[in-house]
Amino acid sequence: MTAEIPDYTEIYEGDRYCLMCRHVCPVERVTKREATSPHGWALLVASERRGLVQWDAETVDTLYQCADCGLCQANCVSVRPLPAAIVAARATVAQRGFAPDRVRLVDENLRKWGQPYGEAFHNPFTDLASGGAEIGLFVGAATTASRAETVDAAIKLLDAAGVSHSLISTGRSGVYLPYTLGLWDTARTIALQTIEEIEGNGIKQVITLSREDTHAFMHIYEEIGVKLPEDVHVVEFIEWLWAAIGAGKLRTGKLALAGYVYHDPVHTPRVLRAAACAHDLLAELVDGPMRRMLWRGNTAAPSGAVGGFEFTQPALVEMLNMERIAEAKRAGAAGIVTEDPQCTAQLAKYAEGLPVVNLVELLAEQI
Amino acid sequence: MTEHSTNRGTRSALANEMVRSELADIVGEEHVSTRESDKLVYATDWSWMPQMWLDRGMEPPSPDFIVHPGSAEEISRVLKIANTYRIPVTPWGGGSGTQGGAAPVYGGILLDVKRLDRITDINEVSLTVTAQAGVNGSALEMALNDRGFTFPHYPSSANAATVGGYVAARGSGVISTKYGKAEDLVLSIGAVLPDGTIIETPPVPSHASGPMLMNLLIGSEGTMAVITEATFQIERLPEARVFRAVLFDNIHDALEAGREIMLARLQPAVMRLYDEASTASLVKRVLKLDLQGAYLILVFDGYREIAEAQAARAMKICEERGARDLGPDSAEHWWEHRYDFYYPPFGLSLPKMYGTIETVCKFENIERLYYAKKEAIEVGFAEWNAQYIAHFSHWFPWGVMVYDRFLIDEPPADPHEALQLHNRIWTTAARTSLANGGMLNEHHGIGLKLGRLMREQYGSAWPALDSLKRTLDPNGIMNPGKLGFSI
Repeated sequence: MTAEIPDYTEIYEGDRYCLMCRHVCPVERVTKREATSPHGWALLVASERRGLVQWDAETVDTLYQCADCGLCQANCVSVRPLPAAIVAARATVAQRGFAPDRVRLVDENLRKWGQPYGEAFHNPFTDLASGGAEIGLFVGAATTASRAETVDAAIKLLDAAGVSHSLISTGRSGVYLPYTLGLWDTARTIALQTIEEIEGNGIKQVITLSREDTHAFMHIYEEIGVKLPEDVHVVEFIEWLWAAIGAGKLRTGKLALAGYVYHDPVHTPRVLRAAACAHDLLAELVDGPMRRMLWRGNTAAPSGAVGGFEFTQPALVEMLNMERIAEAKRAGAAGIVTEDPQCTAQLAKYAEGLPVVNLVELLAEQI
Repeated sequence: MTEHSTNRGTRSALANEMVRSELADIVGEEHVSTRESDKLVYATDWSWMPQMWLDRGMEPPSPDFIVHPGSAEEISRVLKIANTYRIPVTPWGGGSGTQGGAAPVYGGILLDVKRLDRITDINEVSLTVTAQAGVNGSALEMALNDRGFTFPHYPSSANAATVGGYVAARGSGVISTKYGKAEDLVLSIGAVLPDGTIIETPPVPSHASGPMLMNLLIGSEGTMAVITEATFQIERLPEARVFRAVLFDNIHDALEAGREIMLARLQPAVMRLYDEASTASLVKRVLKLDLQGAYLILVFDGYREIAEAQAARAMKICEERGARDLGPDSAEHWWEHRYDFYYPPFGLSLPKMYGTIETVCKFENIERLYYAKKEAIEVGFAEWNAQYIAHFSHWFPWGVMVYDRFLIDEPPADPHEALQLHNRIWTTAARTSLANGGMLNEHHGIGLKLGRLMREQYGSAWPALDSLKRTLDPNGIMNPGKLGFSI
């Protein structure tokens, strides 16, 4: 079944000359190109529909340079869904057979292996999957591939709190990647497989490790026409952690993170309740003042772990990560702390001596 | 065709590639683009004309090369190439101008300065900030706010506009009545002249050491220089903001109250007066306030006791003119939503026809000018059901700016007819302003839209200004077609 793509004509037409969210677009801020800004993408799509440009390798590549980070929408007084509209345009392009080769390769791997890395992907968690528990820790292939240590740490913390849990989607991609790349049929297939696993294991609460997966469950499933079971509740690990500490199920000491900056994980403006838990937790556990990123909270700029860039835009991955590191250094940071496994891995790769630590792993070390 | 109007039609593909190659040698391959997506998006700034042109499926007036220089030195070398081959150069900051000042209507090099993006100094002794031209307005403000300061220039375009654009277009913001326009806040600038000479103006603006070279370049809209850096006065974040809102029965009493507040030097940061039409339409639609009359918002800032004293005196003046006190809430609501007017679906947008035909004049002329323009639009273009709305938002000790706009819901579908009508309305509005003691424009600039009327504005002084342009830019490479300068 071919996924139905919503009609976002009004968004392309209305946003093509709106410049009000330009300042928060993390891509435009590193490329400096108007074409890779919110209004640029809207204008590109609107102009293609008028026959003023055609979809070819260059224009499609420009379309795929949107990070789909949600910042433009979060900073719009009308909360206009431009990111969804841009992704829908990608889906249309993909359905018409114009997707970039790199996207097609991802699709092939997803269809064949269930994850985008292909045969080389190693899944150390396969044997840990078990049924019976009502709580499922959603792992996902991206987290496994980028930062398996965070999964180990999360398991340790769940065990320490006495929480019986299963691991789910250990070797399968989350829905965000195929969705954001415009591979909606594949995204639907993965979403349905995930739901089948959740229901098959009797899971009532899904705990996500990555904000990307939280965003997927909260928003993307609905966008691609897949309904989550009504009795399944999704929380992010940081939310569970904060609640567990508050309820006395976990006891942790102070964290030596004074002088660090907190990096709001990608998609933070879309999942503010989880972001608030991370801030509360750090305020509670860190003695001494932390420093602050300039772009934070509702304007938090993403690392390179966004928009499927790992597979389609390696140059942008580097630019975004280096800009976050530079931003931390400009703030005088002694290091960077974040809880998202993919962000941790990406930032660490470009840190140039600046410590990058994962909050979940730090807390697990204290158990 | 003149020698320097070398648009795409007059250069071969080989010649274009040779130029591109030279440009890439200067700024790097990755900072020169001939991509179709870039040509498309840089074809239109925030002005109605090129947007309408594209909207109706016409070929956009696109640049041949989009160049992102990383320094004044690189800009200098790019301009030397442009002089050698007589290639037009259109400087570009945020592209947020409404007059077509950044539209590359003659093709050539589009010089996007956004890689000049460093805040180079925040001086906490003199309270100044020095920023490169490509620094985004809101990003600058966020960085200053983090240190307890503000750059008191709050244009609605701040999210898109750049520091260089602030200066190049003589922009204004919502608290200009107290703090001045961009031109009043700038102490010095760095710039590259059309021949590639890199200059810095003296470190302070108030002196008696000859004429103000800086002021020649401020407002030149990229026709006389590429601004690369500016040093501005900044302020400490105010301790308090005191909000007041009143409603007048008519615009006459409201304008008189505003005049008296200015003459009494009460220093409102904001004094925004919506005429009856704006109050009934915009204020109702965006702010959800259902009011009949002329709605005035007042904001005073600084030390609380001083701001409150100023507000109290201003309210007395308003009450003496029959104003009804609406309390502080609606003014605070306006402050929090002051930019909502520019977001979809509230902002003016295609396929409608619109234009901000604003002007400024002395107090003695304002009411006459306002009514003359209202009649010129509503009566003169009645066949198109032209609407006229206005607010008065930037006040001076001697006069006030009227931010007036026309709007046509159903303009001609044919792009040529639409452009012709648009020009006719603008010409009528501008001449009405001039005939009543107003200027062509107060803070949106001249650009492509009003250039043809500059001779009427300046009269016998125009040849002197035109001569200065030709002296600085003998090959006419800098932003041709703008400000009315000869090509």
